[in-house]
Amino acid sequence: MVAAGIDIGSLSTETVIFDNEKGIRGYSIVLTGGSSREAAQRSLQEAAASAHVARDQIERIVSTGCGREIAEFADRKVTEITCIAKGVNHLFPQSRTIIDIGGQDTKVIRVDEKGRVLEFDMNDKCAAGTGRFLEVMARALAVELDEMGERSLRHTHDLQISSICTVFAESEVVSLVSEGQQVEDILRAIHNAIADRTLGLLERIGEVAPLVVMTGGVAKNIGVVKCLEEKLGTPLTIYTEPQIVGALGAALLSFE
Amino acid sequence: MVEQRNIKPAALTRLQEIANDPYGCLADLRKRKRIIGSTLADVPEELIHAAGLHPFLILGTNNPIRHSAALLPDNSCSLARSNLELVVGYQSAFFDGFVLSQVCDTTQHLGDIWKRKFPDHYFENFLTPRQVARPSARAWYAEECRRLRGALEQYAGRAITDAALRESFALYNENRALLRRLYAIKREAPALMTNREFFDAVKAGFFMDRGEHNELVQAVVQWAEQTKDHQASANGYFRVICVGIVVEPPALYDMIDEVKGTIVADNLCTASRYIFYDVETKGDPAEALADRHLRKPYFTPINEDVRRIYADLISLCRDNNGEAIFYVHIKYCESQDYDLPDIKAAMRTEGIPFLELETEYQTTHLAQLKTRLQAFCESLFTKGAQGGVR
Repeated sequence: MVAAGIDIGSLSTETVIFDNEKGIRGYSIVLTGGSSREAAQRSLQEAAASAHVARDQIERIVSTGCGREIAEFADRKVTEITCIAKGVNHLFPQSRTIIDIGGQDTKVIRVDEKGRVLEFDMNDKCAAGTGRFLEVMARALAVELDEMGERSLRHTHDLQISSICTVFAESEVVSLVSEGQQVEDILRAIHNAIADRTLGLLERIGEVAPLVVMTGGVAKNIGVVKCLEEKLGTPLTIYTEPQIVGALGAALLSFE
Repeated sequence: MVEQRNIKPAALTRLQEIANDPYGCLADLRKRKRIIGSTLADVPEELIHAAGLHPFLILGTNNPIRHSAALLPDNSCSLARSNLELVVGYQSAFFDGFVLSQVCDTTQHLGDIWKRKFPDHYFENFLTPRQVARPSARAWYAEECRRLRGALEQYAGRAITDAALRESFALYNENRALLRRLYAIKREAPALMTNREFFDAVKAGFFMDRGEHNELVQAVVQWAEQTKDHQASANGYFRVICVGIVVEPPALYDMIDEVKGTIVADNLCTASRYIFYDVETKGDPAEALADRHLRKPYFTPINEDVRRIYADLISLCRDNNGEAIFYVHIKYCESQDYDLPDIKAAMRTEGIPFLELETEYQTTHLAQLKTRLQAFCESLFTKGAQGGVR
């Protein structure tokens, strides 16, 4: 049986085509843009093409993400918390703690050996410390989003961003630039601020048990990952394509 | 036949109309009586009623904040900001005076701001004892009732007789008994009425003439008694304990209804703390009011035993076979902010599934809260929740 999981996020939409015999057959990542509905359709088409399956071969579809309700073609709608936990458990059965930082949400999840959610927390309405935060900072520093992580590893001085509010932090970044601080050092401070905020969320769900897995688009930022690892004192396990883990979990749930 | 039984009575529709436009009915009432607003949970409305005045509970507004932003910091309690916004925005429409209780630092300062802001309005601070477990608390509360009685007599220009007070007690006791009966029926027959419908029925009473409210609730209770046996199946529902002060915006109830959670018990100021326990109609009226007040549950650790808040919540959940606690957290409510981390830890230890729903007046976009609620339910139904789940 072939199933699809679609994770309709605020910034990007991912689809995974999963075959219960062959595993992941294909996937897609598209920008959500102004229409979640169109993004979902486009993502599904692209994923089907990459998996070399026709649309009518996909027997079940589960949608997730903040736009899950808009996917009227989905057989089932499940929250991203459950889907991420499921996807991570499939990839890393030893995982017990998950950090997911996406476009506008940060989630921390404690799971059991079966990938069931024991406890979770997420940021409130404010998108500070998420992918959106990084986007705003990248723009303020005129740095490409993809470059932020690598460049921050070349930092030489420790700086501090005292506020995690996106708007206030942007002002602080502008001030640091005016003072002549190095971009690499500012980037490091930004990543540390995200790590601190994430640690605050982790505190709320109790112990951080290994294996700690990170998912979501921000897991591609090596600067954030390093800051988190240093503060947690434990390595983070990251799937090759951390953005599709929620969609993978959704696809897996269609078999249940 | 069954379909006909499911038709909701007109009285319930009317109660919901009032709950959804709570301040509309006050303008009409003001043609007959002076209107006195009071803050939640602590002010004995019976005293205001017996003075021939119309008491109502100030429950804030979900309209955008415009006025109170200039008077309170942005990170002050959302309920306090919203209450102030309401009275500044509508002061000439339906307020004649206020009796405000001081239950936290915010309400203490709010009272001062309020007094300065409305120098021409009747104003009373009602000082309830913070540590209600102390032996002096009962005498304190009773004495404060006597003081308020005297102040209200002066303002109303008439004596509040013991007979008038006892009539008010009886009227409010009847109201509470009717609402408790309706709650009990809803608990037995969750399909009979939604959470939103029941709590709207309670809420309408905060604003309406109490006698009229009794008539409407009586009609709903009669309908519920006749209909409950056909709606008794609890299949598909899970039993929720709702904890907090207020549930705002009311769409939160709709969200709980959508996931088929049925609220079977609570300690809300706008529900159980309002409708539980009656005032004894014999004996000294002030002491009778004090006795009722001291029997109500407390949500902040203002007892000498700081662990009582956990013990109360655990009992509330266990005694009512609750499957989860939903803690409605008003953004920037300092009492809740201080309590919450320890409450969560205690519930985790007890293995009670616990969901915090942080809300703010003026919130119109509830998608993230919905995700939180749905994710919690998904984990609960897969038996993954072992307590402390947020």
